[in-house]
Amino acid sequence: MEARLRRLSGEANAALADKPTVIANLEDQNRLVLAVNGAAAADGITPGLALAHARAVQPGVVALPAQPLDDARALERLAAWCLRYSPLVSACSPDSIWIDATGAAHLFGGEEKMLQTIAAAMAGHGLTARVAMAASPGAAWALAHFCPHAITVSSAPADLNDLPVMALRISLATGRSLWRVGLKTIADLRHIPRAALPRRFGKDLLLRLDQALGQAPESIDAVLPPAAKRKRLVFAEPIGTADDLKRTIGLLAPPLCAELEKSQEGARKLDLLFFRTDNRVESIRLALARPSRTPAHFIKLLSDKVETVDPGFGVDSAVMTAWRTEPLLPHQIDVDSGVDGAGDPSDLVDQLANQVGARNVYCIASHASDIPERAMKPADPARSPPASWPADLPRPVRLFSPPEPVDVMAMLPDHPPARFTWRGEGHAIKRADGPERVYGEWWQAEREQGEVRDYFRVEDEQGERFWLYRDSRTTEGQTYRWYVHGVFA
Amino acid sequence: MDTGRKTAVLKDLREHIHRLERLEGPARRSAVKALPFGIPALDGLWPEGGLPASALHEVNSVSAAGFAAASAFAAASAGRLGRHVLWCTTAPDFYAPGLAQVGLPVSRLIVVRARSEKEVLAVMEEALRHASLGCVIGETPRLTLTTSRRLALAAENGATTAFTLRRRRKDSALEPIAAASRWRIGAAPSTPHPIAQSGRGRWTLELLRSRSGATGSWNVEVPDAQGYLHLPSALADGSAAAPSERRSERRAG
Repeated sequence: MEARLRRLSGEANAALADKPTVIANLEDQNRLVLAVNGAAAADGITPGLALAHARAVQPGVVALPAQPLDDARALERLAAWCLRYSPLVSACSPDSIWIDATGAAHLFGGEEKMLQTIAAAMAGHGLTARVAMAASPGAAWALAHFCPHAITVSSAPADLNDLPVMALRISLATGRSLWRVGLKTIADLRHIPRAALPRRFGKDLLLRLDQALGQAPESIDAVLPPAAKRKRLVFAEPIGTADDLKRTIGLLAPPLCAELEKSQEGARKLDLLFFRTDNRVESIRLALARPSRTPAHFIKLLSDKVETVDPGFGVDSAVMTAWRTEPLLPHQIDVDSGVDGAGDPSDLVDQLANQVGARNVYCIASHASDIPERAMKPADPARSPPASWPADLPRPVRLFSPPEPVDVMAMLPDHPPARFTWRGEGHAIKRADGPERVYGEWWQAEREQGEVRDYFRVEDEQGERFWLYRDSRTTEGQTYRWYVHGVFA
Repeated sequence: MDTGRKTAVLKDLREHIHRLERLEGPARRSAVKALPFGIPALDGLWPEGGLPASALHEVNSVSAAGFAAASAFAAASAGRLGRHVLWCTTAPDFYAPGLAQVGLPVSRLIVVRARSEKEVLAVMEEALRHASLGCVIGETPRLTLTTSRRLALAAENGATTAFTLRRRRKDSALEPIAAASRWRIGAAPSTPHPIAQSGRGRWTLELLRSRSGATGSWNVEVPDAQGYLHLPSALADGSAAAPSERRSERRAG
């Protein structure tokens, strides 16, 4: 995946936004325009034009000097920021960032959603970004730069066919000579014999074509998070078996934890990168419920995920990074049980979250709402928020979502029913308490404005106790509908 | 002095035999050996003076109300243990405010939503072995002798109490499983109340099987906010029928 910062305008502030502004290479003799803002583009100024030409088109144009070094540094910083999306991110000068989305897209709810999230975040930074996802870095680069849509998800190499040859990251000179012989799109290039290409256009062209089609490997320089605790291990000989990878984890975790201990910190996010001999990088990412620096804990969690690593022809170095840390004071050993940390379930929460998914392990917090199904909501188990509800209102232990409609026989309009039929079984009501009236929360949604529920606690002849309610919306000429919402203990 | 040494040697030997039987490392010493109900008739059934703490218990029910009662029984027992509680199920439809009212402080509850029945068992076993929790509650419709034995061993090694909640058909036979106790809970007509329209709920609590050999059936009131069951007060309705009810309880105990 690749995000392209189309207009590098680090200092383009609000005052400049309305004026036609360009960034030009002022030190060079040609004084070429490198980037333009929206207003300049509307006047017909495009990158690649000479500044003198641009001035002729629009005399009021503001020219800012290009600062390629600062831009590169800013791009590096942005790439490091993008580490939140995946452990493997690379800055590709002058204007692109690669994010390896392998195994990361589902965390954002799919590929399309992930790209939307990234595009929205870039917009939040004040950057105009074009994002694309494809099977290879080259293809993603091509789509992000030349596809007409701002967000593109590509599934097949055929998506590249209609793009111009410049999408292959070739030099302008090569592009011009291709254009001259009538090879304008990538499809044109794919149709002619390969052997003829390098002789006339250089070796680079074939390599770039293969990289875009995913037939040649491409090494990307992983950005490591700044100011993070990390440990590196380099092997004399490439390693490849799962046991060796696990042993590597066992060697990296203790020194990393010792370093965390020195600064009294614990890791919340942990990355483990394996650098393969063929210049590819495999990664494992972990999130911890609570800051931790217990080597055994790291080893257990990382070893569980080692199966997802493809070592290829071998791994020649590994880096373990604690890239998000929080203060963690040294803790006391519990003297009574004699077991270090027994009674603290946060390790277990991590293990289970890795097993069944972090969303499926949660705590319950109370929420100030009279609507019964809204009175509780899931919360982060690490925070364990306080939960309390009014003790004087009896509540069921099981709550049906959604409430199940029942057939009732009511004697009097404002009284609890005499009988009801639920899931095919009849219940004769012996005793009842109520009503407890609950109003809809009109500030949440308009349709709740008229909603009124009257709750009754009823007991049938076997002693089974249910929480029934009557939907008492004021509609004309309609009988009220009844629901069973829960079962009491 | 001599007798003191003798008992110490005997204690060592017992522990040694226990370890050999279990083929495990040194069994973790559990701070809590038993889970008393606070009702002498029930607590007297076990030599530990309550429900064994590091063991698997099965709670059966035959209806929706019975299942709610079974949930409350497990929740109340877990609440009395005073440590974190893990509740694993495929469909978490329990209602935390209601659980708090039967004695489970919700701030100590960790919920795991499993994707399959198999995962429920896997999560239960892992949580039990981790030994950091007081109690693990799982909802499993099916349980075999082998899986129950795994859970029972995990509970013992992790010194953690395990409850499995099961809904079954009325006529289904009780298959053999390796639980320390097997209960069946159903609703019973509530305590008659002279003023309010319905009184405190009641259960028919049946101990179908237990490792100590005791069985019985009791009529109890639902747990209070501290998680303790109560025998219905004989004088609550002021009727003369109460003493006979009490006698029957004693016989059952």
